[in-house]
Amino acid sequence: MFGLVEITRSFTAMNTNVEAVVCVPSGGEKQAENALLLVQDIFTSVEAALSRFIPDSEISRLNRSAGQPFQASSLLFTVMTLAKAAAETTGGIFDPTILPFLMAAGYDRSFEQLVTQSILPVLEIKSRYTWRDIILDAAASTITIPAGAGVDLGGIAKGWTVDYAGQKLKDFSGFAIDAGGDILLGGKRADGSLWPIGVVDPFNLQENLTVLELSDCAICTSTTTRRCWRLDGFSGHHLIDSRHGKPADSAVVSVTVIADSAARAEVIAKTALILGPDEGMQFIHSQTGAQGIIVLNNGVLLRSEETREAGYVR
Amino acid sequence: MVNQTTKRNKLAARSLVVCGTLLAGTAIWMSVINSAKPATQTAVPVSDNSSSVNQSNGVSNQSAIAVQTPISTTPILQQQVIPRFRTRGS
Repeated sequence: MFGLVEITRSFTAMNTNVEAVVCVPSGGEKQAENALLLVQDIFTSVEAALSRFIPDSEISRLNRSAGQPFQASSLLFTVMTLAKAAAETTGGIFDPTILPFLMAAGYDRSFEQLVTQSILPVLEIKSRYTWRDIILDAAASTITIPAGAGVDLGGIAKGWTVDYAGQKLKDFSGFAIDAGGDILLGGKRADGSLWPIGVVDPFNLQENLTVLELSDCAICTSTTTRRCWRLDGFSGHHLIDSRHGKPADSAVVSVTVIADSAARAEVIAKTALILGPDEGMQFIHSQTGAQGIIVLNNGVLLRSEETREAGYVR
Repeated sequence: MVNQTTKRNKLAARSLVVCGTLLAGTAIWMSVINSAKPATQTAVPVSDNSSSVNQSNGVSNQSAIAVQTPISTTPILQQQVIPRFRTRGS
């Protein structure tokens, strides 16, 4: 294992900072740099296709063509299929058709614009569709959403991209991709150790609740303390409870989930946060291989058994 | 009366010493046991019967809950480890 070096590439995509690392023997730097460039290209192309904030993106065109079959690329069809499966798994708590609710809650533009520009939330929603109304035709590679509906893949696309990019790095003895805290880890570090991951304290972002050593898994956190806003007495955040169409108001502030893929970890974390402490932890434990740390708004921590021996600093 | 009180106090003090010694012994024993534990603890069974691969682009079309690979997590006991990444949350 010795003689390995870690090569890193950092870039901005999907409105967040992305860092990818691979471990290679000395002399393999060029191969590493090429692989990391490929990772960046994947993030760039997925963002171009799946960001609803880009008017010409494929998902924007899909939303504009609601009511009629839309010829989808392999990428969009794959992620939409995954999103629909996630919706089924979570009993509709995760639902890609929440776009009208996100818009109503005020999240109608990229987040950095949201915090600097004045917006007027539109609270009236005229129609309500669910993930069950999305029609996927695999043979024709078409997606049909009802007229008046809209889809947002924000809750799963980043995780999927991390997983997909990770597949391109799997031949390295060690690799990691961190996309704004959605983290995928493979193998070991250059020095042979596991990857130490800090779970951020949602009440003090400079501190860690714990540090976990991980490998061959993904870890993601969903929290109401990020991507939140306040406008004229109206509080909003991006985690919409599809049962009533408004930002989730459970007692949970953040949920960190460890799972076998970033897409799964992202969806499970979001669902657990919306479900609340008890149901949320039950849901995590119902998912094969998933482990979780839930932080409540009163500071109480709930942990899966497997994370209990981690050293807590709070 | 005074003698009885003194005797009772002595007894109580002796009991405290015994309890304290027992507790300290237990703590030392526990720390030895804990330090002897292996670091790696979690092994998650692999089961995947719902994944498929899109041949055209190699992208897995697996269900959101399908388990693909085993997970190895090793909680660490030291506080001094500097994290390489942090789960900032989204």
